[in-house]
Amino acid sequence: MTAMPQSQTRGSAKSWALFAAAALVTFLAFYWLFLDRLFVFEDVNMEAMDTPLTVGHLERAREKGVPASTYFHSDPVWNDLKEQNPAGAFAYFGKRFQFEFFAFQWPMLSFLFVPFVKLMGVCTDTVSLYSTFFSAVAWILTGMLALRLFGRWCALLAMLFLISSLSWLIHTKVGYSAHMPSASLMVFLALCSFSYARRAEGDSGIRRRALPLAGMGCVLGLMYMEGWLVVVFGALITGFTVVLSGPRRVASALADFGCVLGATVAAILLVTAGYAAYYHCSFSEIHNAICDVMFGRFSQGGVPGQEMTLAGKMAYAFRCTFWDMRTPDHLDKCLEGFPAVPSLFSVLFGAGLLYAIKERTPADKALLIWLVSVFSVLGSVFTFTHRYALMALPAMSIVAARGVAGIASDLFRWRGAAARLPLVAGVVLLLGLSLVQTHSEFYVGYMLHKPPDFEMDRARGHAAFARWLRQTGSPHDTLVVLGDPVMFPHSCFLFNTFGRDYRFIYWSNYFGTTSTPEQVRDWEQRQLAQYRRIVCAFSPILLGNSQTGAVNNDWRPFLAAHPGLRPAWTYSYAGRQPSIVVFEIASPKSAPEPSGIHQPPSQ
Amino acid sequence: MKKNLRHPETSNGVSLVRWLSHPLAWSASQKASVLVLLSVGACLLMFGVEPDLSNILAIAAYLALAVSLLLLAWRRFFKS
Repeated sequence: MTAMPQSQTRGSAKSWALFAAAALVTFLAFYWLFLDRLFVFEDVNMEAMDTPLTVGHLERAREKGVPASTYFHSDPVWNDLKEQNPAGAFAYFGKRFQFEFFAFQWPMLSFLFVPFVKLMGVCTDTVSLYSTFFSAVAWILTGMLALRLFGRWCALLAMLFLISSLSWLIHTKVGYSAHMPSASLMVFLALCSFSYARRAEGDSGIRRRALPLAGMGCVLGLMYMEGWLVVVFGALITGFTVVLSGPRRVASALADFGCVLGATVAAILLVTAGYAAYYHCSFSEIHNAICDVMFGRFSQGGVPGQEMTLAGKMAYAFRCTFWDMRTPDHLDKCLEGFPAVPSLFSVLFGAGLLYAIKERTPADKALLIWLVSVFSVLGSVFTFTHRYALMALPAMSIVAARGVAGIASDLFRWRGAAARLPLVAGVVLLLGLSLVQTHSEFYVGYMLHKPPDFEMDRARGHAAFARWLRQTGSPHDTLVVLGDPVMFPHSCFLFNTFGRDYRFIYWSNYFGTTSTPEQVRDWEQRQLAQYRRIVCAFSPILLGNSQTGAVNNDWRPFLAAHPGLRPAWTYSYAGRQPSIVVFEIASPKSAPEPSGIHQPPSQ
Repeated sequence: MKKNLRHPETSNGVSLVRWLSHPLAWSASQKASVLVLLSVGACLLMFGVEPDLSNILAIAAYLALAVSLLLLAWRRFFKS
């Protein structure tokens, strides 16, 4: 073995030192964006609460030793919800009670939540920790995939591009909790499929390909139990990889498909059997729920009343990702006005795409398969666009990093070493600006300066209100009257008061624009025979249902019944008008013994 | 940085600009991929202007994608 020349050793050491510094900056950027203010946002998206709340109740059922479905049919908390908010309680295709459905539809998702719920209880910090943990896992896996595909510098660039996306940041902080584990599975699947493609070169025997095939199958099985659409993306990626990068003989390709199928079925059987045993539920209940949600969602098509053409769906998918977030879906509205990815990311993604088409290396092929699998489905199935485009974001960030590498390669060939400094300075400067812009868009723009009728504002202050409620009265002698289910979604309050089961009922179920002050006072007197106090929470923001537009939160009759009554508590942020106003009506008599808890209120 | 960035068989070392300016020299799969990209782009551009045309372009994009994937699979299994 010949010794390495001294200048080469010095150059290599310098390169590694530079890489170590860049890696440190990358991790600091992640810390700054995701970890520095980990628990800063307590009003997470309503859909992010459903799974941890369900897991909290499943654990309660387990402690009581009752089967999950029995618990969901008999617990008084759920009876109130079914009675007071039937539209919300039976939202999923009108078939089953929503939380029973949540308990069975995604066993893998629930299982992943269990350690977090056991560690921190049912609260928003649990959701933040869970989401950030899986966001970090997906981020690191993205770096590993980019390292495997294009080398270490592309890995760092891809990791920086990924965290420069506002969509990624918002979905980690406030979004839907299923996305981050799903994204991790997508990257893991891509790692397996690339490994498979490399091993399939030259039509090697199936033994050589068995490990990545088993990996792909297991990931597909986990995806089936984790999300209704991610498994479709995963199946397409697997199918395209076996057909386009696998062995060139039909019989071998069919054998590979069989291998994937076997591993998928094994993973599904293993996890669902474990879940069924752990929560005392039946195997068929789980798979009925999974199939219901999967086929029901596909047949649902999109947001009711806003059916779109093929081009419309495709346009939304791309527009939300690269331009702005004008979309009918309430979760996508988190980002309204901003693109899912910054302009620099978009431009370099476009360049990377052209380089990938030009070169078509096995690595490029793996990324193109991933992008085609996600975007072709997004454009054809429904209008819930950008939240599922998140599943392509790791691939997009690697393609953008590939774009930088391609441009660098062309520039070096054109200008030689003289191009190095301007290129590095340009990338560092622009990427830095992108990260600063994303940080400012979330921590300043999103958290403080959204317009008052912004969709997500309806969730703001609910955690603070629940905290106030817990501090000021016992659940046994308090009746909580919430304005309406649109501004005060039931699950928000069940989540934020978990462990202290208050009775929540809706004002809009009893009164409306035509109610008189006398009717209101009479009703209150009847309730005060059972409770020591009534807490009424209203919102001055008149927001309709995000999908139907119906408005039913007119609480002027309450004010007419109580002229001069001062609010007991209000909520506002960043110097705005209060968005929640709470009134307290106490019984003139001493508190009676709790009776009639969880009985329907008399009309 | 060089790992997997260039395909030894398909790349002739030309820059992206030079490659883009010689579309006749592209391989069939490169042509198909660019066609899909152009159809999607045109569909998006026409979406607000001419919805019917945009819809036709969307269908064209899906057809181009389906045909190119089928051709790739056909060539892989039966023409190699």
